[in-house]
Amino acid sequence: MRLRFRPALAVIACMTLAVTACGSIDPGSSSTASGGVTGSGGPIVVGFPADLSSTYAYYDVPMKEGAQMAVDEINEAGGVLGSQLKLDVVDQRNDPAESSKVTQQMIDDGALYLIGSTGDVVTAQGQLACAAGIPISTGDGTSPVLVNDMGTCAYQLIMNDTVQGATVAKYALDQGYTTALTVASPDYPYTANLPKYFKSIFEAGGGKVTNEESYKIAAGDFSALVTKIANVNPQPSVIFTPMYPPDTQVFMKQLRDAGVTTPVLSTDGNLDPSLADAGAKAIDGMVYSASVCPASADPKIEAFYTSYKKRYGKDPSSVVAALGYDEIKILADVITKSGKADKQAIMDGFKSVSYTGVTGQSTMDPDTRRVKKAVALIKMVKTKFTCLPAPEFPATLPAP
Amino acid sequence: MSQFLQQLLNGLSLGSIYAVLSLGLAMIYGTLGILNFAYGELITITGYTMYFATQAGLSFAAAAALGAIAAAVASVLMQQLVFRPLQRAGFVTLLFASFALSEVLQGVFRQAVSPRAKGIPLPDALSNTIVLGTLRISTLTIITFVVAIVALAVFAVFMRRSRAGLHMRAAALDLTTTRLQGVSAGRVILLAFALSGTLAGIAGVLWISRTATVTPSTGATPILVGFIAVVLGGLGSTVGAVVGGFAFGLLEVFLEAYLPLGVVPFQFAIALVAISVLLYVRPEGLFGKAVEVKV
Amino acid sequence: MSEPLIRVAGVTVRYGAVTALRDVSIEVNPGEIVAVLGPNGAGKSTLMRTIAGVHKPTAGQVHLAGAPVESGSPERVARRGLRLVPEGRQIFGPMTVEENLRMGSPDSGAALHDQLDRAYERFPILGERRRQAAGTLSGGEQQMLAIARALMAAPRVILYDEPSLGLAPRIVDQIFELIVGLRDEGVTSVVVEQNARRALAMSDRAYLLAAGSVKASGRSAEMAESDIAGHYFGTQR
Repeated sequence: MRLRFRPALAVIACMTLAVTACGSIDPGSSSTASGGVTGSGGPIVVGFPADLSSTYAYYDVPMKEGAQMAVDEINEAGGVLGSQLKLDVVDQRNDPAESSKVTQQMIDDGALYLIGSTGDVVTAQGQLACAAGIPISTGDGTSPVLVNDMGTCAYQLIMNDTVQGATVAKYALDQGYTTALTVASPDYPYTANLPKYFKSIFEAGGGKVTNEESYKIAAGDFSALVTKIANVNPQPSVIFTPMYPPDTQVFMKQLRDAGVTTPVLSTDGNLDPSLADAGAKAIDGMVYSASVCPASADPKIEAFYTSYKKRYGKDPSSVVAALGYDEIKILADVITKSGKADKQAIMDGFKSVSYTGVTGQSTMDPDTRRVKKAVALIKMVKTKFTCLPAPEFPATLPAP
Repeated sequence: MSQFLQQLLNGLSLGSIYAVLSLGLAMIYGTLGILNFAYGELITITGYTMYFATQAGLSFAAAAALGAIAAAVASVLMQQLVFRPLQRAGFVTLLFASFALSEVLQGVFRQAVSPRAKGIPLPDALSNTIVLGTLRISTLTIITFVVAIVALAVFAVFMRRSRAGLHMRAAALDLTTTRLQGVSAGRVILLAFALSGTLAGIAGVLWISRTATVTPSTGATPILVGFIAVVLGGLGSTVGAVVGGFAFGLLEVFLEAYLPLGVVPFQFAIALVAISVLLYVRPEGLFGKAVEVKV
Repeated sequence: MSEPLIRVAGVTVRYGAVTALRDVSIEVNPGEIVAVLGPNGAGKSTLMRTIAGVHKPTAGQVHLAGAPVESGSPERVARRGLRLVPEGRQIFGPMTVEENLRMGSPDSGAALHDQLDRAYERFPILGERRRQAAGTLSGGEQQMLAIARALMAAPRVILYDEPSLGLAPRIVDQIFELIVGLRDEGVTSVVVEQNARRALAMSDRAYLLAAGSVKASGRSAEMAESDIAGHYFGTQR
């Protein structure tokens, strides 16, 4: 269906648009139709089977925005090795069947590289990409096990959860916290594993996790949990939880209302403007890790926002756009260095990525296929997102 | 002891929201035999109305009132636009129509607003703490309980004393006989949806005051809880829905509070198993009546 | 001849493949008591419910006081002064006696209180039990409540569907006396009955329904019981 509709739409577009506009569409559709390996004349196609409308749209939409900006910048500067880049984004609505269909279509249409989407469907996307022998990233997926689940063609170009767990644990030790209470949720690997990563590094550094609690995602009420925590005697010196909005707001509000003043540490799910709406009383002093600091707190990100706004007249949907931007820049760097736009050459090139982008320094570990990339630490000062001094990449990481 | 009392208060406060929530759901089932799965979206609509109202600079109280009204209006629109055209359809058709409506609304929220949480700033008065001896009670816990009880009481008086309430109770018992008394089915149904929506709106304001955020799927937990409470109390019984709501709130809090850590993840499953056992022993629920079959 | 109060003309009612009524025509004049007789499954209840607007005829028309009834909208038919006292009474069991009576009234306030006073005057037992759940009343009391409820709106015509069903003979006497008494107050009645003898004795005219069709009709006094008996036992077809 998709194949039949696209050319038809292109024809209609040609009939309604100026002839010059059609000229620029043409190369794309002809290479799509031929489906072969891209030569120096045709564009280098990057596929992104994204969730643009469902659960993970919050991540994939800005990924797309940032990636598109990088593509536009590169093409204006003459492309990569003389070829234009073309970003092919199709919404798979976080639907596993649709995701696989869309991904296979992109591969059949001659994509040389795929940006993996956020969410579980990325595993199947990886398997399809590996079967076709083209590289794929984990997109904005931070789980350290993704690259293995997806296959040997998969690379993680952003920080992963073991780094978050280790960095936050190191921060806790540096603050002099000796005992910790963790709150996990078995509902997802993210919320189940991060407390383990935290514990492993925190205890290796001499701390002690004294209490382990659990919560239910989207429960809407954590009064029972909070009462339990309030009655822990003696109080731990810190609470760690990978909880993310909208649960964080509820938990933090109920925790502080119950009179618990113990500091709370968390992870990247909380980099969300809605966190501030919980109010200063609830979230003041909360510290959490994230891939990037928000624009207001980091000059490099702010510069990225400025040039995005100049180009498109509005802000990107979120700071995640910077990750999408860097991913395309890394890809362009890999292709340039390997000297040819060939899927095997690109695959090999990814093994030695070393790139400093808007979001920081990324160095590929060819054994794990995950980049070594430090996380940022963000602190809520009242309801303001502030950036703590950039942490080092941790000396030891917990096992994924 | 003090922790037990604290947890009891938590359970009663949460249960009181659930009671209001399930009452609104039970009303529609009682009057029309429709299990309206889009009922949860009324909570979401309350949330987004409050979000936009506070963004527009309205006070929290005004936003809350608007939120509740929006839910009532949306409930009536659901009836007019979806359920009324399907009035001749069977239970399963209506059930699926309400599922579809729920999905469509969630899709609309995702597209029109955002797939992510939107925060609703709450007044400080809602997050004060009252210390009573060893008990620390947040004002929200108390306010929630009081508002819910007042709403339930006003509802009970309305249903007992008013002419419209009389008609609605009669319609829930036997719609045809009610119509044979000259009572307009259309008006009763409209009123049932308006009241159901108002209850959803009140529960929604209390729920949103707790979560401080609204997402496209905000209604998912409330509808699940409401459905369980309604079945627990006895389908179609309004008293049962209220008791079921309180019972489920207390069950949820006490299981969370006293189950050992390894078992806590199964809290919801344990609650459902307990309810299944109860329904096996009493298929009609706590307050339901055995169905009379007219031959 | 004046316009009949109820005119059923050529009415057929089908539910799916089942034909409950086939080309039925009956007339009820103001001030009459008309009996509708027939065995189980003859379509008597369907006829009553069709007149009351519950069922839509597949063919034919029902007129009330010269205007077509709003089929499918029983509340609008009810508001034109027609009440159905349904089979099995269909009182609202969990509600109190007084609430059941309030259901019958289109009014509130002083008018409602007058109607309640009159109902309790006519049925003192209901006055005694006004706060009691209607479902706890005896069968005869429930039937009185159903009739009292119908009278609250001062209807022109009342349709009774098997008013004697399951009641002791002494109670049935009371109910029938009441129906006859109401005729003298100007209330027209249609009475569906299985007990043909008693129904013929208390009515002005009668129709015999069997297998969904009118098999006989006439003045009650002139209809021989023997004509009717055959239809009950299936010897005449």
